[in-house]
Amino acid sequence: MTGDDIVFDVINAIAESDGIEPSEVDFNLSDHINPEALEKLGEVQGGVWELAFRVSDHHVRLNHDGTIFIDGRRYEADSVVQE
Amino acid sequence: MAIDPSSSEESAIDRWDRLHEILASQERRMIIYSLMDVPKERRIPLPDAAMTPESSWDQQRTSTRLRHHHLPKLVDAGYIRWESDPFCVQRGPRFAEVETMFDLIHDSISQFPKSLITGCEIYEKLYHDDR
Repeated sequence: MTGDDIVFDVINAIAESDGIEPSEVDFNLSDHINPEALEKLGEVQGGVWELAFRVSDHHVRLNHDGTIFIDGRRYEADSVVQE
Repeated sequence: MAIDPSSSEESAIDRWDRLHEILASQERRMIIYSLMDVPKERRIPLPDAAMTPESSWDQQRTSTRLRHHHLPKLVDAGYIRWESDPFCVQRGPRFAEVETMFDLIHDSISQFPKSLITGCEIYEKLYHDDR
């Protein structure tokens, strides 16, 4: 996972789960979690971690290998990997 | 979000901490630089204002990072105002804090060690212009 893009990856996954474009999400991530904290986690080399938080009405879970779960559905690098 | 620069609840030490935090991102620095180049009330288009000579250019990724991370942080510090549609930015009520800092860097560019210059196109250009 590449530090600065973790914010985009999370927003993109949430947008996909809502069937909209990243520019169309109607909340601001920084109202729910400190984006700096996400980026710092994304920069950790070789660690094993998992983070869960709520954004708007979604449950977001992500881990060290870049996998993002939105409300339990798995997303990876711009697309849904499995249901 | 309105900030009155004259009645700050934050101490000067808090403001210095915040200033340095704001400066710890190339995209945030670039927005400040872009705003210094235009008249006070001017709105300038995003994401262009945040684009650095070094940045890889993916408009959607950059715009998303700006909306959800860098712009809220800059607003919170009082350095900018921004609008979503059209996507643009202008100076905020406390812009003078960053402006003064950047003016000082500009004026003293030739005194900075090369380790802070080489590889940073904006400063490299200033540095050579100053010599």
